[in-house]
Amino acid sequence: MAEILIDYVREEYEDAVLESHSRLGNDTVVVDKDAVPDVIQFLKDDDRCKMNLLRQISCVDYDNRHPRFEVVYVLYSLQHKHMLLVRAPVPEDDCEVPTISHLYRTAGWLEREVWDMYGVTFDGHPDLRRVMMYEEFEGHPLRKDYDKQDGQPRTEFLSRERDSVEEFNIYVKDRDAAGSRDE
Amino acid sequence: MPKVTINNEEIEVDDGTTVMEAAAQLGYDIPHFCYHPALSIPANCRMCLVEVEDNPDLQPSCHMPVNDGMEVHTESERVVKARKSVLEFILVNHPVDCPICDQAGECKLQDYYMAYDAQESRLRTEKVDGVKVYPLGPEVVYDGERCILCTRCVRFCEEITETDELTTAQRGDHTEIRTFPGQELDNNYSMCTVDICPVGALTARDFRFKCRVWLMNTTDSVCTGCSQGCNIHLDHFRNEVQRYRPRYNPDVNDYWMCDPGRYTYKEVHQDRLEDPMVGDNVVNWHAATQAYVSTMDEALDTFEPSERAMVLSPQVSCEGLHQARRFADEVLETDRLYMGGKPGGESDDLLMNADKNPNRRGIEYVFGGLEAVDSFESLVDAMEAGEIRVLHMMNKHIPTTDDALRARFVDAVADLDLFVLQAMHRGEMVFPPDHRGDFPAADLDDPTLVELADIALPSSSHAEQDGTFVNEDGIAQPFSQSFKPLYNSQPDWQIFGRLGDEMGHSLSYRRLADLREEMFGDAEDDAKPKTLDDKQSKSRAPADAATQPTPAE
Amino acid sequence: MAEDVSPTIDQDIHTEPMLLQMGPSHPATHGTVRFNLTMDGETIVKCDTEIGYLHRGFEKESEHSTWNQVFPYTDRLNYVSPLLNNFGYALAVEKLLELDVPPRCKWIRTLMGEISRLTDHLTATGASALELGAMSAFLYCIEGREILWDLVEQVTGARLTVSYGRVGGLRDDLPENFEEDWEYVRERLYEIHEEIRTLLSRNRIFLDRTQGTGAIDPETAIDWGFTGPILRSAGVDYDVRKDHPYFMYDEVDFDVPVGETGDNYDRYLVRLEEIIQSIRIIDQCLEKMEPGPVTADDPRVVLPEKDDVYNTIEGMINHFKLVFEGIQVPAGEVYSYTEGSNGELGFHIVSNGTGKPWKVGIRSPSMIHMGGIHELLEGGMLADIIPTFDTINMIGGECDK
Repeated sequence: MAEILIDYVREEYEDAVLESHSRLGNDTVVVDKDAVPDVIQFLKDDDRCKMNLLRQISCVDYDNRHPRFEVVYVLYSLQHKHMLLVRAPVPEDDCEVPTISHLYRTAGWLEREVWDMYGVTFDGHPDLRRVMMYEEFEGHPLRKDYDKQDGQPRTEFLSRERDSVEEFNIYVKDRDAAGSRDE
Repeated sequence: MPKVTINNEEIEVDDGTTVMEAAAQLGYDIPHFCYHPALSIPANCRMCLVEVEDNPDLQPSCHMPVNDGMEVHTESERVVKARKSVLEFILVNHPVDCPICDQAGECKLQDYYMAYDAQESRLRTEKVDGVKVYPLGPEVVYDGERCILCTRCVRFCEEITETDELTTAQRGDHTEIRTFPGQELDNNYSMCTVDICPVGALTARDFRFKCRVWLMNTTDSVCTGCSQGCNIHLDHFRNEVQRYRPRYNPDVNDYWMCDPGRYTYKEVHQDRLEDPMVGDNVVNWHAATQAYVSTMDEALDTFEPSERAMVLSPQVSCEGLHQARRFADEVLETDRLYMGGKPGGESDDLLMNADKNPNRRGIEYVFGGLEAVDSFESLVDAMEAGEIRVLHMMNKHIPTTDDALRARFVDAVADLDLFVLQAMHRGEMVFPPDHRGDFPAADLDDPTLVELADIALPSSSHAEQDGTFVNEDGIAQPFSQSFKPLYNSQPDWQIFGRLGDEMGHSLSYRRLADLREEMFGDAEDDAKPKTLDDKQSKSRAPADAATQPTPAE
Repeated sequence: MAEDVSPTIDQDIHTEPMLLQMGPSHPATHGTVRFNLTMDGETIVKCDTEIGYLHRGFEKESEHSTWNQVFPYTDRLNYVSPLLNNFGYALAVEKLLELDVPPRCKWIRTLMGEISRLTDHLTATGASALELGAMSAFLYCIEGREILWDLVEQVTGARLTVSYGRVGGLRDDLPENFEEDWEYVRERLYEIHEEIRTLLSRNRIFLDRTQGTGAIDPETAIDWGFTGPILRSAGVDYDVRKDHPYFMYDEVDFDVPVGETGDNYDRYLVRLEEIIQSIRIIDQCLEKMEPGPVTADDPRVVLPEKDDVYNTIEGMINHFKLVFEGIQVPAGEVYSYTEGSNGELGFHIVSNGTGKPWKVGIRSPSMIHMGGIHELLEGGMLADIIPTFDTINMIGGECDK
């Protein structure tokens, strides 16, 4: 139990914190969704917190509740061995949360998964596309209004070409610029 | 206005409120078997015992009126122990029937056992046997071993239907519910006893072993059996209606509904007209609409407006009638409207009305008065006189029990130039139905109206669409969709919209909400037709709704 | 490498990067994963990982099942260590119920969990060896796995899809001859361990292929969310069993092997050593276990004895309600984590107070590793994908849920 973490967050970001509680072994702080990157950055960098492992980004669809979604970030510190859950309620009509993929590289995929399954977009994410479903999938499967037995339209057979000639050229040019071939 | 403290929360209640009702107002559910808000209070199950300060005995909260300054505890140690003991005694002779008992899933014993008891059995002897599968009447089957002798059924027959058929017979361990010798449980509301029985002692013959409770989905709907419009829970499984159960509505039907009304659920599935038909051919909606357009265009050119007529059905929802009115005005351009529907039947003092159609007042509301619609006899006379050449009929019911009149109508229909039928059923339902079974259809040899129709369009029942019915007292009651339209049918309001659009008038609405907006929109929220007049509701109005606890059935 | 190429070469010869799809149906991408590789010769310039070929809608299905009906789904998560998933989920639900299970149950859960860990490590090591050409080592590992599965079959009735855990306890106690059979298995496992060590650990080919490839440093590993043997091979001493003990892990003595360089060879060594440690834990469990009940004493959670169910109405009602409506778990939310064989396995469970979960979210280590695997692959050669992917040990069921 590390309730002290809740106090640290409240100290720094009192107006962003909507609620906090400590139940069943999980310390939780509920923050306003736009404050999420700041709060998490603080938790990552501050010496008393040092939450360097992002364990999970998850989302819960509370059907018929407003705000409908809640994105849950589970943070952990390998140094201090404490955990904190940061939750951000997300309403359905403004289904967007600022990304934290610049803070933790694993957040890239985790946020993609939340987008794929729930339809919550992450503002500023470099590559927001589906991760578990195929590209042509319609809808967001883990939402409560997506029926378990729903069908999908048939897709055409696509042949995909990715043009990575530019990527290659960048690779070669970068190495040129770094002067690695001077010797 | 006495004040009472329940579980350390104070509340002020009206005089005469019982402790159980006061607790319900605070949100505390006290378990009970024999108490029912609409029946007298015998306090014989002892499940609702609570601890009252300064009283050495536990008191039955269903019966005890609140005194000013009373302090009540519903979760104290003594109360918890008392509940366990009461349940233990009730379960002592209860048979191990859950796998074969209909009530499983909505059984009070099961729910209370898990919530309050959860102890093992201490019985070391044999259980006392009782009578099993004993038919009390044509609808209800009694199981003596499961009965907990709450006497709700006995009191129902005494107080609500006032027919006094049931009583408790024998004594002690062997007490059972029986009818008086020579009598059967045969009143019009016998299946309500099945609803109020908290255990599986009384089961309905119609529903026995039909479907398990947890498999069914429930929707709020309205019974279409008569113009009382009893509110119901429509239980359905896999797109098939399994049964109706009454829904509490103090203005309309209280907690009850009649047996013939319960059987009307069979109409949703029996003998449905499945696909659109043009002549004798089954076609799809597109072809049927095209056929309609071509024949109707010709008919509109050939025949005067006074030669076209429409038969309205008071079985159809208000939204369907609204579209029918627009259709009659704009497409058919006629004011020759006639009343169809089921013929009248028996009525009684309690809930059954003679008018067996749910929405006659709906026609009155939509068309601005019943004067706009003529009687069915005048239609038959007009047809025989050759005045009507084109007829659009909603629903197959013929509102008379006179066979001669029916025969005249069928003959006259055969002579029409264009007969379009928009109906739910294929066969001719003989009415009033024998309320113990299926609705018998007409002989297949007789030409039915579907066969005579040039174009037959399948419409959906009330279970397959959202809509509103206005009952006899003028109360508008919405009903909800339980499942998508069966077979190839469509709700009436959509059929009219489609036909109207194809005929060149913009009649359809994309959403039912838009239609309702137009129908009820200019009336204020309160003034939506709740009562068109001040006629009192026929059912017994219970005490003021504010002091009603959460209605426990 | 690009730096060896003369700067003028692409003025004469037209070169382009090659797009190679190491597609889902590849013998080495077991568990169906697709790598879209952009290659410059043999070097991987860019790697785009695609998963989801084994997505079966676990989370969605759990929302329509009762709490106990989710156990067969958890079996099929990390299907080479099903018992660890079972118990991880049971732990999470028991946290929501605030229910404590009896000590014997915890001992058995520890024991069977370690057996599952053994099967997973043997599979990972064997598969790595196989794909680098050492088929004999693979067969020895599989023999080890087979005798373990025989044990599991005696206890649970199935080899792979066991559904042994229950909310509030286990399905059944251990059989009587378990200790005897374990003796035989233990001896044989030590022998197998020695065989593999001699075959692989100083094998020239194996060393060349696994040393130096797929290396990662600790900070990057933490940033990418790696846990389990991968993180430990990079030098970070993090094991949920030691840091936040659950079940009986604080009553047994075991070491946690930690690597140095974070390359494939270290991961292989970490797994090999963990096999020995798991055997150690199992021995201690069998020694310290006392006879007793294996399910919690709460009739609202645990099914009653069959004798009572058939003969008393109370037992019947109890069984009926628990099976058809499910355990009524109070409303709440919990994130519970255990040490899966590949990393930290987390369950994020939300209950709305009824017998069916509102949400069962899984933090699957394999998916997070797949998120970061391109970091290990980019800059390396095509052939290095094989040992890297093998030692990461992505299990398809866990990754795609």
